[in-house]
Amino acid sequence: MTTQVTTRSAARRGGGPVAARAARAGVLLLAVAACTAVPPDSTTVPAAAPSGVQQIAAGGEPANAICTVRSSFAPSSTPPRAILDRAPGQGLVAGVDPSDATMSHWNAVTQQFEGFNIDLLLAVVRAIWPGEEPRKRLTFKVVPPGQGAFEMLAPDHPDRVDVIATSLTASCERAKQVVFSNDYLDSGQTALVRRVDGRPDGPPEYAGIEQLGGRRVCAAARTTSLAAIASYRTADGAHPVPVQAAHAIDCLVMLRQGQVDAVSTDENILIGFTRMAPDTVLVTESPRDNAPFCRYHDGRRPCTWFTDEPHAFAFARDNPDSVELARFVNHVLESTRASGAWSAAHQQWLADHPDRGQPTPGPPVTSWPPG
Amino acid sequence: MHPVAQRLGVPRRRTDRYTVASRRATARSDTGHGAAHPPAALPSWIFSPVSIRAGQARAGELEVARAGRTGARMTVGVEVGRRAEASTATLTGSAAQPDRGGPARWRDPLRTTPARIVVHGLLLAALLVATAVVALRAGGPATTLGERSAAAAARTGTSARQIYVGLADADVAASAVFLLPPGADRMAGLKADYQRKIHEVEHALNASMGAAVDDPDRLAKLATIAARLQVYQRIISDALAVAEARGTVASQGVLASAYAREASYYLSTQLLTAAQTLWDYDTRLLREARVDARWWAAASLLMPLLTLAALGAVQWWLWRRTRRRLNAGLLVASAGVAAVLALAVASWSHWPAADSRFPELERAVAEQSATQQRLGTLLAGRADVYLGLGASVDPVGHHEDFDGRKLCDVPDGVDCATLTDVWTARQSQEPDAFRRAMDAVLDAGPAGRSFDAATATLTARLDEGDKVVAGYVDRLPATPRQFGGLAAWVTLLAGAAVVGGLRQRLAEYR
Repeated sequence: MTTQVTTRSAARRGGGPVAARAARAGVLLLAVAACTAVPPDSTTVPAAAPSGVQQIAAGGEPANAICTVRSSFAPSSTPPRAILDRAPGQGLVAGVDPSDATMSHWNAVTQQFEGFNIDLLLAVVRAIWPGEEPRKRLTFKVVPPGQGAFEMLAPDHPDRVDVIATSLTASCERAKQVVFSNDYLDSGQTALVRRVDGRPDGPPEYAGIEQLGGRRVCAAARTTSLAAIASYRTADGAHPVPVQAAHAIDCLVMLRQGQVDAVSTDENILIGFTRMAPDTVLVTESPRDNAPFCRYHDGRRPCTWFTDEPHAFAFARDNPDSVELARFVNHVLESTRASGAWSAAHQQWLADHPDRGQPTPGPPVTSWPPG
Repeated sequence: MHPVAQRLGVPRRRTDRYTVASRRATARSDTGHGAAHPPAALPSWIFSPVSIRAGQARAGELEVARAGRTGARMTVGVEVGRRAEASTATLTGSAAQPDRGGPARWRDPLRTTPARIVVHGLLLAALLVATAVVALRAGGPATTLGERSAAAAARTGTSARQIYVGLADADVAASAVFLLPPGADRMAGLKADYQRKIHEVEHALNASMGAAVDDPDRLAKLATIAARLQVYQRIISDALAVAEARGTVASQGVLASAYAREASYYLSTQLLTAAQTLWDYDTRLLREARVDARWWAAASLLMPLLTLAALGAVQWWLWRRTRRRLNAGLLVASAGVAAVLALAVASWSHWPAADSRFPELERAVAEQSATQQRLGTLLAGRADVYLGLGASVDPVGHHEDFDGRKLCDVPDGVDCATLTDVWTARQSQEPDAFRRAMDAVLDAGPAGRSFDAATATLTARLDEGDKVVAGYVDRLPATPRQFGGLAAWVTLLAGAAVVGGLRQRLAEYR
């Protein structure tokens, strides 16, 4: 490796034939000295890895024990006054994850956030301030994935947000901390692996999650995906080795660098990853006994989900304005069904996502968390 | 030969006198006519024979000298022949006195004079070896105090600094590449800037490796940096491949930026730490030269003095036991060690001047270290800004990293007011906010100019610091000729003289 460094440098310096010969001799000398006689300080060069990466212990609550929430407060067509009365330029503040190619990401070309979540948020803003340019009433703030974003809903947080729109799974455990809107997308957790030899048409290195026992599987920290991986047990009783990263996109980097064997999270996110990295592919083989998780799968291809993942927006608890906003968002979600806005956004960003269309909300609740 | 002497095994030539050492005042001269036996609890070694000189002792009398604490002498009258044998039996404590443990149990062979000579010889040998080792090892520290060695250390320290700063600068350039969307006009210029800075680091590495062929430790450190630089370059290369892939989706910048974020993290945690280790290694001689030199100078002078004192003590001890004769071997050894002391003084003749001038050099080197790390922090902060503004998934984290570097509102920091709109550009509702933020942080913008100015200030301070260090190095005295090797040889000869002298003395006992 040092040889390459010195070779490039010598070539760059150039010079006449004598200089070139001298440079070549120097390169040879240095290569011999550095690569054979004197090894680097450490026997192995440390591999690169994103910050915050660590392997965690397997085990914990099984994935099928994760309780999900598919109900919310009854819709209300009245936007919360506290938000409606905001001055121009001070509209809705939404917390987003910029790493989802399908759900929300920063487009450096258009220089704006875009994605399925962004389209739904724009619909909400249009409903609050009809007739105004929605992007001028919508402020995006990047928040951590999973429940790491919840603290930004606190009224005294310096980067407070009104709503979190980060492909959040509506779980009963999280419902103790935040209020959820109605489910706006059904998905399930699956796995992304490398293609054999990195060929664009190559088969997956691992056919399914069942083949990932004892393999390193990466998910974002503080997400239900990580918990599901940690608790997954294959047919022969093996656990995948859970590796957590700060962001799911870091897992994709590590997958391509060979530091993990799979990335596991919701399929709607992983579809976006396959667009960014054509040398990766979703697993194709169904896990055993996953029928309970495939109730919302459209069946157009084998269901590889091993969790049930209803997606919902999150709002602060114990805050009347936030609850009002949740009711208003539920109203907008219903209106997008009628207007076809949800389907249009789904077609644009999630055309190949195997869900059964816009979810039907459960019976409205009157208290939170739902019983 | 006298039977007493025969039984006691003393040399034939001087066999009519006993010197009996006693540790107990109770071993008095009136212990009995013809029965010089020890007290009941007195071990037999107290009565060990030292010398019996034929013709000197009067008939029927043994002079028993009490060495020990009392220093008194006692005279025990015995009859020559029969009575002497009886007396000898008493001396061994086996006839007249009850056996209270037995002579074999009490006898300590290490306290016999031959054994003592051997022990003293071993002690002298150990001291001479230590003196030789110190003389050999002190050459390095003594040389470091000199101008030429310090200048070389300062030069390697400067090259290590170039590598450190070059790496940090390359990371800034790499981060800037991913600030722009793929295909942007300025992209090619930023990529060329990154390549140029990487080549500068490679060039500095090559030059340092070429100069370190006789320093395996330094070469290993440089090889470590080179290997890690390869890893860093590979990540950036992958990131560029992602960003420039044909048919790239609009979100591709997110993945490319994730690579860039990883590369920057790797650089700060692996590469810069390795570069700092190299700098620490290169400047260690300068930073620790004075402390090292003090220790070695003291050791170089004290070891010969200690050895001389030991030689004198042994000479005195033998002199008292050999009718005031001086041991020639020990005399020669003493002269040799004195010569070694003179050589040490000559080797360290520059020490007083160097010791007084080195503190200012150490301070200058420490200031260079602080300035270098400050510049590294500034450049890392600039990379934070680029990554935070670009497509990174963690702009908040980059902002927090930047704040943690404490670059605002300090004399050599940046004008952070120019960054206010940069941090919020991606979340701004104004469509032109991102472009204006890019313009602000790149070279011609106010934030870019602020970073450039701070970088120029710190770079100028480092350059000035190099001159200051060079000036202090010039003021150091030249290293005198080192005599460590010669001193070691002389010490070896002194050791041979000691062995010869003591062997001769031992031979006299046999």
